[in-house]
Amino acid sequence: MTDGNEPYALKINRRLLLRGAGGALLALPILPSLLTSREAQAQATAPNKCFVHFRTPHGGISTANMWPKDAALTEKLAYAHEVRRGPLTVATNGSDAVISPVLTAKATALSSQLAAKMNILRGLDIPTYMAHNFGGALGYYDADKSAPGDPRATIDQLMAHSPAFYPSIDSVRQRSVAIGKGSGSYGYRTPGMRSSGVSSSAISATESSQGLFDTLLAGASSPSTSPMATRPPVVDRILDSYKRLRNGHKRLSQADKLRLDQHINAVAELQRRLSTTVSAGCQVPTRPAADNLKLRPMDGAPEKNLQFFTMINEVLAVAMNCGATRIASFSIDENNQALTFTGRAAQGEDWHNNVAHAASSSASAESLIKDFNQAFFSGVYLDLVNRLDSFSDGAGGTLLDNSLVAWGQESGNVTHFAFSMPVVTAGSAGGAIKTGSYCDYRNLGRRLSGDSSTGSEGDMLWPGLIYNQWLTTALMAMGVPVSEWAETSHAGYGAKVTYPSEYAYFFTNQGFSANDVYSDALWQKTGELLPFLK
Amino acid sequence: MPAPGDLKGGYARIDQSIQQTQIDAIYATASAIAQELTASAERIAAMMGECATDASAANDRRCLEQFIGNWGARIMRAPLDAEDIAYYAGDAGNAPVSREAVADVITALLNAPQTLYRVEHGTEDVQPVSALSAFEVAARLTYHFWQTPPDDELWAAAEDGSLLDSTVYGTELDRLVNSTLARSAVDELVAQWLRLEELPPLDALNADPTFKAFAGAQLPPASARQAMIDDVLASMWSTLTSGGTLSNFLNDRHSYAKDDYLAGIYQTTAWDGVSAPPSFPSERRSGLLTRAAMLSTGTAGTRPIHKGYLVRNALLCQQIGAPPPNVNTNPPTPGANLTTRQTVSQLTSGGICGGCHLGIINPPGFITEGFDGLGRERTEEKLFDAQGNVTSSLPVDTSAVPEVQRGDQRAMTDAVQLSQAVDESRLYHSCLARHYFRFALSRFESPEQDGCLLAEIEAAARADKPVMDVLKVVAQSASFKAKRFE
Repeated sequence: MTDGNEPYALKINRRLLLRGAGGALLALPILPSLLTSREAQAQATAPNKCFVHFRTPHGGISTANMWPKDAALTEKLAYAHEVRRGPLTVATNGSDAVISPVLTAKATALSSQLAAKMNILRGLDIPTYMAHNFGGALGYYDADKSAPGDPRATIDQLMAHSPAFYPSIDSVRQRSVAIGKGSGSYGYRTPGMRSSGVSSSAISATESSQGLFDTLLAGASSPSTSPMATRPPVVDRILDSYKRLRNGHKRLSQADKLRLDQHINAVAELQRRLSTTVSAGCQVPTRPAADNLKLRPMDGAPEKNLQFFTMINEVLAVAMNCGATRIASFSIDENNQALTFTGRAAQGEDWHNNVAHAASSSASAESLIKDFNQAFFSGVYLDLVNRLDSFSDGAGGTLLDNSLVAWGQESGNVTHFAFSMPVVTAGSAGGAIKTGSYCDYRNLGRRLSGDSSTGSEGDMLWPGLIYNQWLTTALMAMGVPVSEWAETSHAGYGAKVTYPSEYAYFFTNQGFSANDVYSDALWQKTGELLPFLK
Repeated sequence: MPAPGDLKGGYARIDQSIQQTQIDAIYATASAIAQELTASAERIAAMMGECATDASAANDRRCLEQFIGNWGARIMRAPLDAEDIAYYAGDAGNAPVSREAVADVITALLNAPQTLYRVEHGTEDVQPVSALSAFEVAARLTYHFWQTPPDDELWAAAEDGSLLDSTVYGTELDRLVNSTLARSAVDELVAQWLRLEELPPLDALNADPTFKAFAGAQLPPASARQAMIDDVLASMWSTLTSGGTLSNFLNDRHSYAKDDYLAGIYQTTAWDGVSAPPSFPSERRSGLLTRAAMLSTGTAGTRPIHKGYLVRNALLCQQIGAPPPNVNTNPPTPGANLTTRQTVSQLTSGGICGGCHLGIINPPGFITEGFDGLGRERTEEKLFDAQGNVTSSLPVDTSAVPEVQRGDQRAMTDAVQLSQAVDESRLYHSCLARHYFRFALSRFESPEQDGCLLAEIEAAARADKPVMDVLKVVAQSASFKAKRFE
């Protein structure tokens, strides 16, 4: 048997040969600066779009803390009902830039120029009762956690397997990444195949910044010189072994065949990823020396909580700039991740029980919820947004300009309730949507009443447009055509959910019904870009 | 059907989805294992025999094929024929076979479908339900009871076909169930049935003045949570290995606390894990319902609603609907002059809440209010302000009518009476049978398809057969040794 360490100077594999040839070609560049701007523009292909979604737990941010003041709404539009908008403006308070108490950051992180690239969307409702959920913000509606009646894949997974979004995956290491201890992203049982049904389990997520680097960027700056590189990739044999069993003559049940098909699909994706080289047009730093997981335990340590995510952001931004992935979904949860971005520890269920659920009736709890979300917004969300804005797209814009970075929440302004699910966006997805607006889509002619035993939802309950319209807007903005996700019951994306009769009192207390509010006409509107964004 | 909140029925085994990250991780792990196993000539020789590292290259291919035929068969749980062996030897070459080629073969074998899945072809080609082969039966047995591939003895019984003989099968079944290797599967069943993982960290509030004052000298260490979970698991294991019944588990009054902290909560001495475990000194500590894991909250308060729900859902399989959307879900924070019970009663008496809470959810939770949020016995509930000062100390009321069975209006005052009622109802036994079915078959029961097997498990449980025998029922059924191909 031979020793694998023996010299193999003459063994040049195909990958190395191609890399060498590529190097020679790259040695004769046509520098962009030598071209006229029109020529440069003509040469530039449309920059790749990226989609990032952050999900934060509970919602339950009071209206006063979440939204800009009503005076900011300077324009009205007759849509399904009257909707309003105003330019998104940033006030200064010392060194802080302020849109609302939660949407506050250091002026260096939240400039007026950046605000002009953002939108704040109010009045988007998921018209059913889900209480706690992880996937709602991305379109997986699971009122019944054990067996959702009519589940849909989340929009990030639609994008990940869309041939329109990824016309080529040659340099894509992973179609999408889910970040968190669990995720709120759901795909099809056989990825990309709608007919296989929506998986009952969320996409597995990762939390490690080093792990993310290894998945997306490892080897990009130093080609492998391992003797293993001279052998046929073993993943080819593995993939074939599944096909051999699947298509062989031995008896298999239909369920086993389906399972094998799913596995074959996943191994094929692995095979593709292992042979993918990261785009030569980007700078890949060396592997981070430290891993963010080493920051644990960090419950009640807000600086560590922020650093935990900025270490991920650092890797993700580079990976997106390199095209190693173009989709990421963060699922942030104080309980399973043991973090609150505040000095008060999550302590398992304590934050959930004594802070989130107390926020509508306790000033101190409300303040903690504000602090959590403000710290997240300024230290995590804007951290990634600014990183993406720092990368040039080579065509006069930035990576952020070609992206859509959205922040969605588990609930609306009252936890458990899905009225006015807040959406904050940055980036115009390459000009697909207009930015710089605070939009209020609530129907102020239809006040609701939950008749809560706490009576604490106050004036927070108004119906608005249907959240599915936001899902549609995001899909359209990212270039995923209707033909890839069309619904039969309405024009937009996602399940057409309704309020069960036991929850009708939200509406009947005020003398009308849920169907009066979320009418078929309003569901038809879900096929359009949201007002003020087109 | 599963109860609300029982995600995927409450058992991780029911989640059979395939994730890209799992495939990626398996591949990476297998590659790393392969590299380690082939890192030196000594390791290769130890694994494959001297033929792999001797001076001759002529025997390399045969050596590799022998290795695949032996080791590959064991990890795939079935013999490999010549075609299979040649397939996995694949492009390793004839002579010499390089270290890298061996590593690739190992990686491929570890990733093979027959390794990662229990692939069952059955023994018949036409019938919709086919008997399994001896090797397939062997794998079902060991994965069910041990969560491992077959050991040498079972492999031999499969190899010579004797496993299909009912006497040999029964002997092997007894051996598996009586083995300590069954512990991990039993622990998994109990932990998920009783949702033990939901026990919060107990030391998270150790710096909080109120909690510090409440805990006093018994401030929980970080290890307290696992110690409490282990106490419950050890109770079941002790019951099972001593020939005990489900009733014995419910009423087991031994402490399995191996650490001084939990032993202190139980006011007994730490168990050495070998000799007979000490008994609870207090007669009021009835068994399962009063084990610390079932009572602890990680806060200075108790959670009667949570405790009551657990009894209804996990022990009696009495479904309770989801709370209405406008429910005030704040956990009870006792007022200055109100016990937790009084506060809960106030919160849940009004409107539509009372319908479920007053007669169904709260009473079983109230009966164990004679224990505090760390599982310590008490007759009074001390209330504290935010600085940790005692503001009042109020007598605890543990009387309630739990109505374990519809129409039973007996009032009870402690967990001993409640446990007795739960035990006598036999609902507990039927409920465990249903949970065990889901765990064993990795799916929900279907009355049309599974009525017979479910009835057999239930009959064994309700007849007070030893837990070990109840667990064996699944493997004794005809369906365990057959596969449906429709």
